[in-house]
Amino acid sequence: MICLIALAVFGILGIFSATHRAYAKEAFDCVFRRITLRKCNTAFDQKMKMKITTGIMKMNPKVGGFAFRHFEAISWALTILTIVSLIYSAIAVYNIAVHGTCDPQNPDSCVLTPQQAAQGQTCTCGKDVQSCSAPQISANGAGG
Amino acid sequence: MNTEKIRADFPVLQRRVNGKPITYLDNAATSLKPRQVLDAMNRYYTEFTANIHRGVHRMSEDASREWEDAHKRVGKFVGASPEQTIFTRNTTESLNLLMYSLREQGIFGAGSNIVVTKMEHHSNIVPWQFLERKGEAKLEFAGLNVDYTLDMEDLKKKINKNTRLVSVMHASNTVASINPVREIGKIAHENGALFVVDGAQAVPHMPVDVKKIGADFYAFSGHKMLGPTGIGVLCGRKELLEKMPPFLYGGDMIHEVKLHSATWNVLPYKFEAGTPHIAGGIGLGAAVDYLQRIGMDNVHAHGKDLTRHALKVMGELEGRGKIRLYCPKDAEKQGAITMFDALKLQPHELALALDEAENIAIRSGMHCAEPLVSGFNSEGLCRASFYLYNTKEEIDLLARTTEKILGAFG
Repeated sequence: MICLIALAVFGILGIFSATHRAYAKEAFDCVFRRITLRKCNTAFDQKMKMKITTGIMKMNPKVGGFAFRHFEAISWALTILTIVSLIYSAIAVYNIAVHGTCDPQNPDSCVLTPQQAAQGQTCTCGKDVQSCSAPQISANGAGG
Repeated sequence: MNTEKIRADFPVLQRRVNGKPITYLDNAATSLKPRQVLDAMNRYYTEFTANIHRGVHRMSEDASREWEDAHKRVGKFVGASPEQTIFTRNTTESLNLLMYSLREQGIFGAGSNIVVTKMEHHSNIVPWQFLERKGEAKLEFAGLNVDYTLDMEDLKKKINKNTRLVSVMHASNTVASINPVREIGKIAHENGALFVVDGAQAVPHMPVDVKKIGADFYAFSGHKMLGPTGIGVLCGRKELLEKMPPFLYGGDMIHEVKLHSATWNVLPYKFEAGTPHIAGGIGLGAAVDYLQRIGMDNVHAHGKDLTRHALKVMGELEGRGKIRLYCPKDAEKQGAITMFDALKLQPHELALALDEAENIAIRSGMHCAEPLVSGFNSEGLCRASFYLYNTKEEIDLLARTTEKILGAFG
């Protein structure tokens, strides 16, 4: 399942580089085939596997060999970790948008309210996070 | 032969990838091109870019003269006259030209057979399959001995009075065997059959004389002998070529055209319709000059030297159970090719790893000889092939890196 990670990586790199764009396209073809339970027919997954494992082998043959033999399992593990971390990141972004950084049980932790997060303001909050006032600019420019 | 001096003529060999040079061991697929060939082609495009045989202005005269001169030099290189030397796109087109033209001539028919070998390239199998599908000939295959040389007894059994054509490769691009083409030609002619030779892997590596071989037709490719891609050659006996109908119809292959009829141009132009790859032909002429300056005996000797060394070092790997070789293992019986199975790795995996680890270019897969190679391994095999600019050190690097990769991944 290296294709999925490759798609993410090369998809971003492809914004800046034509070479990586070609890889991104190949990765996309490969992902599409794999998620429809078909074999990747461009050998992209094989190319990526050998590129990565040979690179590791050059530094440490034993580790390279381990990576080669368990590549599919490692790819799946990384893919699952990537998806899980994307989900957690999405939850975090949602929480910032909805709740700001305010924890109702611990109002002193509040740095941003949802509205002020949207407006780019910061303030210190009391118990009622909705009543946060506009920033007071101190002598050194820090909010207070 | 000064290999270092020769290597300096090849711009690609000066290239560095990740700080390391390229080790090009895929010459059976295509060879690298020396500066002299590139300059000759560039001269056409910068000094006398014109079509041939069509204008009377000086640029067209220059282009035509260079084109015709290339025919002379290439023909002489293999012992043929310019009239016998037809420029095509490659060996594949040469063999297809033969198939279509001989078919049109009525050489084949129900009950006739065509004999090839099991080691043939697709270009010397698939065109003849077309005739078999049409019911115009039966295609017979001569087998191999256990040492991957041609089984001559099997070949003799297959050739009989119904045989219209025998077509074999001079040197194999897979198992590397060099076939006894003179002997095969005699057998073919004794049975009244035409004798065709695919010389794509022979002409670049050894002196070839089509008259001495006794071939009725001899095909080879420019790009495997330092020339550009897109240019190949078909040499044929003049009396046979004169009787054969054209393959393609159109410009330059005609002498006179009326509304409903046409007459044909003289040889070789009867078989060179349309605007050809002029730069390619000029480049091929330059490639032939380059090889002749070095001397084909020297090229051949260097190839044998590399083959002996490759068989030694790869043989040691085979002895340690790392790989399995598929070739006669005798430099006198084979060309400069070693085809091998990586045993614990798929062929593409090893080829990719060699490229990634040390910029070593080899080929992997079926090598355009699927009937043969798939019988050895359904995933294909690896192949390293050498030429005049390769060195023993490069072969050592191949063996060392292969062992390192197989040690880590196998």
